[in-house]
Amino acid sequence: MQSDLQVWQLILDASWMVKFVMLLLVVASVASWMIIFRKRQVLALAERGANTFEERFWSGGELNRLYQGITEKGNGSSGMEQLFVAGFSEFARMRNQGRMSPDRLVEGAERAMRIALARETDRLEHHLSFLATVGSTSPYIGLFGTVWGIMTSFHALANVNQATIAMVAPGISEALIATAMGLFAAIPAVIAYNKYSNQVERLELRYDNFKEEFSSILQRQAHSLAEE
Amino acid sequence: MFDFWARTRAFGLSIGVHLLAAVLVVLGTMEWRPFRPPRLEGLTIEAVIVDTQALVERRDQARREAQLAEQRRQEQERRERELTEQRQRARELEQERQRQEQLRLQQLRDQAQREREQRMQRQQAELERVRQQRAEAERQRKLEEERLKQLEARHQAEAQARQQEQAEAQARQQEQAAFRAGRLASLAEQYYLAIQEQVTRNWLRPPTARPGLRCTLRVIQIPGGEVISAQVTGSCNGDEATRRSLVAAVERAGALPYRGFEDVFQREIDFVFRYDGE
Repeated sequence: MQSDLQVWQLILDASWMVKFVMLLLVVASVASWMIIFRKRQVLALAERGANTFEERFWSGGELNRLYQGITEKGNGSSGMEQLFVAGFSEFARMRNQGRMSPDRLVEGAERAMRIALARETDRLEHHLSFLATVGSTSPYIGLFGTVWGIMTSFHALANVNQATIAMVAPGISEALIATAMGLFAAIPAVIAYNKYSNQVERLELRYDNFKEEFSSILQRQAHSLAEE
Repeated sequence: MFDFWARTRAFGLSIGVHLLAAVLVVLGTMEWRPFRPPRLEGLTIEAVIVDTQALVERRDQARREAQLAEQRRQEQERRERELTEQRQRARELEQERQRQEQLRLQQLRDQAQREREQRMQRQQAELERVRQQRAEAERQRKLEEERLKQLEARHQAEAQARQQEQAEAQARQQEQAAFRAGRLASLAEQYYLAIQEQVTRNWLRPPTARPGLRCTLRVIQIPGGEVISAQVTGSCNGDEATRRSLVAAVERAGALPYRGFEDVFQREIDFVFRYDGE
């Protein structure tokens, strides 16, 4: 097992600074991959939840029943459901408080929904910035490790009379591992960041649309209530 | 609860991805040859282990034998050297004696030689002196002769110069005479031409006169050119009338040209009248 020994040998032989850089990169890479998996799951859930809820919402059921169903389900509600819950509960609460103009009612419901939307967006976008940071900085960190390694390997060469390429080559090879690791951490992070931010944007748009549509429904309802 | 499990799952997946990557790296670098830091390679020495004790004994034995042989050889040599030295000494003594003898003889010979040479030198010097005296006399004589010769040469040169001078003078005179004669000759020709012209001017040509006429006339004149008489003499290829007309012409002219022709003037002059047609 000479061969697998040697890569580890290179890493273990590296100077402490290069080792530190490598460790940092490994940690960043692990964290970014964690976020990638986690976000993937979260976004998939949100998307699925939105699909099912929209289906139910537009199937023409009673809003009260829908609200009941969602609140009974409890914790595991998706983003759009929460939006709906926030808007509808605020609307119901204001309507129960007594006579209010339909505009005020709708306004209150909209405000509640805006808050819920903001919260939801924040939840979805959470940690995405970490991916961006890893994607943009880890090549530099890796490069720093490489430069440091090359520096030390040339420095070791200073006292030698006849320098051969065989003397510097292992040092440079070892230093280049840091760059490789930096790229290994950065590439998936950048790809994931682009993909997820796009997905989040689309979800946001979808929530926004739903919010508008729902507020128009509420407005219609408020006016009909006022005319009674 | 859900969140925790989800996080753990994500962490596990992440670790899995990295392990996969590590395995890939290991597989990818399987064919790398291990790095070997350059090492100084030591010199290899080939050696054979031998029993040194035996070797040493053998060497000592050999050395002892060699020493013995060497001693014997040296003894022999010494004896031979002594013998040769004795012989050498005897020979040298003999040689020395011979050399002394030779030296003596040589000295004697040298003495004789020297005396002879001295004698010869003296004779030579005498001879030389005589020869020099003779040479001196000879030189003196030659000098005298030379002087005489020079003197003679000078005389001769002077005579020659004189002769040359005379010749030159003569030549000059001759030249002058020739010149004068030439001048006179040409003057005479002119004179005759002038006379011819004068006579022709005064000539009344008779019809019988033909071109190609040649007639010699003799004119007697006095200084000043005045004609005393004229007559036809010698050859004349004209007829009587022509002859008369010619004489008449001369008489009519009265005087022949004189000025400028004083040198060639003659009291009695013969000239050939020519008529070759107008």
